[in-house]
Amino acid sequence: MAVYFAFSYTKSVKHILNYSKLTGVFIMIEVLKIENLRKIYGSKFGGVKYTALDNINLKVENGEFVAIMGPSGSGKTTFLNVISTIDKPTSGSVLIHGDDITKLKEPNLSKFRREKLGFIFQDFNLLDTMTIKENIVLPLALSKTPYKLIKTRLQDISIKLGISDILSKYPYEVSGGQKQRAAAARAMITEPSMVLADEPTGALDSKSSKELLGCLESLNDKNKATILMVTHDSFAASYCKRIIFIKDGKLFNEIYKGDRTRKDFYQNILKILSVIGGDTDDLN
Amino acid sequence: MTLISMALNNIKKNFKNYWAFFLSSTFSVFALYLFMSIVNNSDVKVHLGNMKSFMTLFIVGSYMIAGFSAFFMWYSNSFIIKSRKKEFATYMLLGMSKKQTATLNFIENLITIAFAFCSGIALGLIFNKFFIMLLYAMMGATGDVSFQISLEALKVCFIVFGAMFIIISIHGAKLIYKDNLIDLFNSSKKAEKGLKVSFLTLIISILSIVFLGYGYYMAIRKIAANILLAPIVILLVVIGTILFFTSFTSLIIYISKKNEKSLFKGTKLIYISQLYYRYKGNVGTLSVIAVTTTVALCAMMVCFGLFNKTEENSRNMRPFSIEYINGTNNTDKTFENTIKNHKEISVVYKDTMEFLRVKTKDPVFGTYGTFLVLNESKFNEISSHEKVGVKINLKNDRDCYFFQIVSFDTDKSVIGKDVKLEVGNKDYNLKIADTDMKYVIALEHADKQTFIVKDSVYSKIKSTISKENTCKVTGYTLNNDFLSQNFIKDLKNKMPPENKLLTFYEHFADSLKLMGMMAFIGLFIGLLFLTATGSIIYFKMSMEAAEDKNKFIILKKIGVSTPEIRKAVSKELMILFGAPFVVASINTFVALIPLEKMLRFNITKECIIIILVYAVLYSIYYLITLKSYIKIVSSSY
Repeated sequence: MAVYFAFSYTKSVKHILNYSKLTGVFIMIEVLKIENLRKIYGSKFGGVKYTALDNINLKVENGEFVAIMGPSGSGKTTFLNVISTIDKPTSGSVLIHGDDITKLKEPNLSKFRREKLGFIFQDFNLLDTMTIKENIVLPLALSKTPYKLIKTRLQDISIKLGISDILSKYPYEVSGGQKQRAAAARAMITEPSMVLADEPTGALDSKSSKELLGCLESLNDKNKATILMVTHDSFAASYCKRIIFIKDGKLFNEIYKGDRTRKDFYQNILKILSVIGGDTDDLN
Repeated sequence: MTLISMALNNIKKNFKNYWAFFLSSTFSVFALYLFMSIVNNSDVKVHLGNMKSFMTLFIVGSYMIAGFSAFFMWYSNSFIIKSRKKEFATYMLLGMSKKQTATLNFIENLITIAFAFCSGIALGLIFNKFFIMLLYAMMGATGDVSFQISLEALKVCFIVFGAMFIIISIHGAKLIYKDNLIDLFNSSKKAEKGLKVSFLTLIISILSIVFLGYGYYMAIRKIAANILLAPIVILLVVIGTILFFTSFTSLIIYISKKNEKSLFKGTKLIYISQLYYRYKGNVGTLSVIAVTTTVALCAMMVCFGLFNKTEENSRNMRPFSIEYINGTNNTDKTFENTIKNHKEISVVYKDTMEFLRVKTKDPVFGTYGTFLVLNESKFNEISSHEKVGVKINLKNDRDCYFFQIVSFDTDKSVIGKDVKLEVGNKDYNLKIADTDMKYVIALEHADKQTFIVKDSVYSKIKSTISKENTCKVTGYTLNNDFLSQNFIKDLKNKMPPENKLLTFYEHFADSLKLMGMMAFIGLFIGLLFLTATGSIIYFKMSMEAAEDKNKFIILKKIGVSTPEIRKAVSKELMILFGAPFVVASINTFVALIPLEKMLRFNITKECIIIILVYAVLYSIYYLITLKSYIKIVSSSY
């Protein structure tokens, strides 16, 4: 914190982070803090109850690139839905930058989702009625951001994702990989606290997947974007710095990439998956 | 499951989309039945008396209803089928043949139309008496209405709607047979791909403004003087309106989409993109709605405007309560003897005037013919009795005042012109000081245009003119015209026809019958157009909502709140509903200007009331559509 105070009058947090990287001092800002999260499905009047998430505790810090893996039915989608405010937990709390999102109500909830979270979906979820550019700026437009700022951010993000030359096209005129990068741009343009990606490579071929993951990796690296990615794909997960495994609604294990190469990390992931007994097709 | 039970199921399931179509069809059947039953109603014929020939109005009204219903059903059917192509394709994929699918569609049409037909006829039977009584009230007639079932009307409705049913079934079958399975599946996808704006669009936009502008200019400036221009003006405005929607509005949307600075602000981005994307599919509908709304508003404005001004019109046409050509003094005696027996009325003023026939060139058209001459003091005296307010003040012997009765509008260019009145072989050179159209006696008596001259000039002409070139007219102003019915009946029996007895009351009663009928027809046509246009737009928007549901789910996922979605949708619908209505209202106001000049009444108030009432009813359709749209797009998730 001393470092922070020393620079607080002249420099932004981003600069401090850069500085801290240079000096080797790490400042950890908690982006996501989940405590005793529990989600139980089932009718109020008895009947069969199903525990989708069971007492999960998790912390994600600023600038992390985290993958959540687990076999089908392990609860990873429910987990993501709760974090993205789409679903409400049965008990426990989800704090994003200190705000408990489980207690937010409309319309604050929508505003929160739009400004603090960025989403990347498996099926892109771009609007056919809008050009790529309009799709990307939509969250900023809705928040009534000044036009100049919209323009600079758009330029910045589209260069980073390599989609500057398709901005005026419609989604049906571009490839799947380009669509997903546009969706990533839309998620990032608000500079959210955290980007939530749900199987972002699920609908892409391997080349497009690599391009997208490379982009996400570099955004995480250079812009300190915090990314939380749910995935099936061990290869995609190998781009992350940390992987959390979920099984039967519980945290099973977590591993850090550390200084390992991606290849080593990938092997490590496969090993753990085989222990969990995840989808065998992931092993191919 | 048989095709019939399937068809029934489909109708039940889709009723929330079809109800507006159903309502409008029912109303068409109802209105047609009602009109035809009035045409064939013997009671109504008796009440119309000598105005019986105007029953044709109802026949014309029936044609309008039948024609418009046919158009409406065809139009609705074609986009209902379009929206259901995917459903049909699914049936075929599951093994139904094209023939079976077409049969299914046929059965569905049969059930819907038969149901609409039966409810329309049922409504017709139930409310027949009520509406005929309403017609009586509007016509100023009294009397009881008996319950009648008109077989003739039933037959006409059956033929008209049967024919429509056959036509739309063939049309539907054709649409189903025409396409391959894959085309049916993709039809909704390829339907709309955003609007394209080119240089041509710009030219057409300019053209639409030119058409509308020139049409408006002619309507305001030229039509009143030359009614023959009306068809050209109507054509200009209709084409202008259609072009306006096909190009000008697309240009506006295109420009607002290109203007990023204002576009990237709040929900505007959402609804402008939606309008842009959906434009091609909606533009035809918008033009149709603008044109039909214009027709409905204009028709109602004329009918109700005239209806409301019936008395004023009769006062203009019959300035005196009783008026006749006075041959000998015996005529006056007949009048006085008759009125003695009628204590309910009394004479307030009696005026007798003598017109002189002279020959001259028409100051407006230049043709040679006969004209009438009256003196200034007599004219002013009558004028003050009738409270018309026109007072003539001629400065010298050479001045005269000219009354035009030939065209719809006063031609002011004649002021200052010289006229030469020929009496026998003597000429009187006069100069027109002023001109007007409002007259002091019934036009049937003063069948020629008239010059008002100084008393001295008048007596000079009179002294030289022969007896057969003069014409004496006597007019009475009664204390209460509306009690004069019996008196007039008596007087008519006693007075010979060559006296040409004309009365205010008869004119008023006959006008009221005519105007009442017109207002009645106008009411129904207006309502029919309203329900039809409302149903078209409702159906289109419901289809759009169902197709675009996915978009709204995406919007919600990325953090667009429900109030924001509501705002975007209500603005989009506001533009789609509002634009045709605003254009139609402007067209109607423009039509109002020459109409007021021609009719010489101020019906602006009536026009505004009609537009407001129509707007209120139309907004009900807007609100229902909005509610349904929001419900559809936010139903899942």
